[in-house]
Amino acid sequence: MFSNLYPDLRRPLALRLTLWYAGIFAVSSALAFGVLYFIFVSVVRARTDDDLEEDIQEFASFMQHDGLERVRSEIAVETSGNPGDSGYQLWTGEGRLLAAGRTGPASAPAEGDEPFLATLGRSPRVRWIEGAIAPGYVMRIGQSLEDDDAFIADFRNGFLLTLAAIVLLGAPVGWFLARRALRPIEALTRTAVEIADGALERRVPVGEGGDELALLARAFNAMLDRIQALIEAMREMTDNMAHDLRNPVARIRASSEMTLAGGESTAGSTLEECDRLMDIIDTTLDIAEAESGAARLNMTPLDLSKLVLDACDIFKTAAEDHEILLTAHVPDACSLSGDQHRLQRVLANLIDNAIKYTPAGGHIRIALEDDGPRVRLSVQDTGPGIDAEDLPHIFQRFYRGDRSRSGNGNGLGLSLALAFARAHGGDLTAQSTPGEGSTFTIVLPRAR
Amino acid sequence: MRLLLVEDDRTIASYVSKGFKEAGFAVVHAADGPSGLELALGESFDAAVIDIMLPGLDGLSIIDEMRRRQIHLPVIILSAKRSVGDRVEGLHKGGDDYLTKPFAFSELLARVEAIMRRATASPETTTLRVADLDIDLLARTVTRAGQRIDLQPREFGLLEFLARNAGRVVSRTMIMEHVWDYHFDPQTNVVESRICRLRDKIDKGFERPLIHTVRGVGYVLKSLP
Repeated sequence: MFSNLYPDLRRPLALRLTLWYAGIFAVSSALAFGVLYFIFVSVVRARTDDDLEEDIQEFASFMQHDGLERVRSEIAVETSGNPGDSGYQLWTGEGRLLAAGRTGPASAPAEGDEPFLATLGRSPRVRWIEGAIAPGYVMRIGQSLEDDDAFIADFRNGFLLTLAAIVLLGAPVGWFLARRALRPIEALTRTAVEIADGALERRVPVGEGGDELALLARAFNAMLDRIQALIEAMREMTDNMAHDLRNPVARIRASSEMTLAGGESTAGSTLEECDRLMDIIDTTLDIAEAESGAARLNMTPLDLSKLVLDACDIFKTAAEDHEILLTAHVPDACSLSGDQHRLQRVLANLIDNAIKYTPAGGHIRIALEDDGPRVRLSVQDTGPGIDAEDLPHIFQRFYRGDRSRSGNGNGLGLSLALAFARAHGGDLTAQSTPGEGSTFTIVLPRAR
Repeated sequence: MRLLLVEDDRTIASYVSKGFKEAGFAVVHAADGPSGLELALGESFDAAVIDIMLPGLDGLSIIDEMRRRQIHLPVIILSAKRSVGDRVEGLHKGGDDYLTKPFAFSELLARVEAIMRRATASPETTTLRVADLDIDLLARTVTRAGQRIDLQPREFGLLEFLARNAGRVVSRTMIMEHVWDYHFDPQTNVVESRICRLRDKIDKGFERPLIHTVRGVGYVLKSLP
């Protein structure tokens, strides 16, 4: 903790915050002290001037009640009684000095109705007042400002000392506060660095409460959760894909070796495996293209009922070969704007899938429901169903549950169907009851 | 028949040249864009097969320049890129057809013959004959050795496509595309299943089978000697 008090130049933000803090602290303190000092000086000066004006009035009352002699004697008393700090002069209206105590300006005062105030001389400076005490008599009274100036100087020195202390203290306090505020960000940075080094399971500590930094930490952790999930899914996908690509290559190798060793030509099966590989690559690209939104859909008005009936017609004989009943319930017409070739593929993939998993004697029902803004197309089979633990993953690329691992699909059909459905602004979902069958439902919006 | 082949990949070029020569074409090969354009502008051909990615000048620019100079040679574009956008651009620039690498040579040959047929605009035939099999395209009837064979509409379409390409292997993808307008091959063997039914009707009971399976490539309608 104590080491944190020393500014660290490797942390420019903390240093900058500290400088700003100390600077603003010093400027505002100086401003406050400046205003206080001005008010203080004004008050002290005003008090002196009030005293002098009272003196003039006192002498005016002496003059009025007791006459000129009383004024003379008061001057004498004041001059002897208060050594050092005051001067008194009595002038006539014609500019003749009648009485004087101690030093003072030699010139005659100008006669005026209002008292006149002026500061004259240096160390000690003297505050003089001139005022008429009776018609034709002008009194001039001076008061030394030595005491006032000393008082103000003491006050000012005290101020400056305190200000210096505040400025000196402001920097470390600012550093302390800046470091304290930035500590969660440093934790965030450390975690990010660790993650960049490969520790993907690390998370930022989330502080108590809901301040901005706690929100940032939470958002950061949520982002990490997502990234981790994506990377794990991708890792799994890559493993599966490598497996799925390896198999055709292995078969091509094996059959080519057999041909070389003098067996019968296996060019045909090599071509088949090549097509399988190409299909995997193309389909992967199609999915990526659709998912990234880069796919340009060729939207045309089409009749979904006809699309379904055509697909049934195409798959009819293949379903019969598998002894599966394939039926479709569609409205007379179901117009929709869509990409015909992609929708054909979505439907064909779902039917492919159903045929693959439905045992002989089973039934595949295709139903098309039109509910105005949306169109719902479902493909229901009487296959073995999908295990609950597999259901959330069946749309992942190359994912295959234990049941389908041995199948001949490429593990991409459902991913592609989902990607194309989503590219149309729709969705594809699956429900399944193990032992009874599965239903895949595509929902497509009518207008986009 | 003179064919211009503009393709920079030597292996593909020699394999395609060989195939076309065997099919009775005279093939002129250019390995880069500028020499391809020079040939296209200077000599007379019946059809051209042009790759998009070429050194010097890309295939689309060659087609563009040809069309600008009023040379209406039928062209098939070859590309390793497979996006719909490229396909659309290629056809827009004046390509007559588009084929994605890797492709089956039989498919390329079929497409070249198709665009040449389209270009020469020969009067549409109304009957097709392969060995002792007769197909009447107007009446949509099929007879073999004088014996009437009843076919479903889809089966008729499939047989017609095979007969139009008689002697040439057609792939499952080509069948899906031309007979059902499906631009992909489903995993379920729908073509195989249809061929199987068709074979039952066309070949069963006759001494010589006409529908043959070429493993890994597709199907061919022909009478083996």
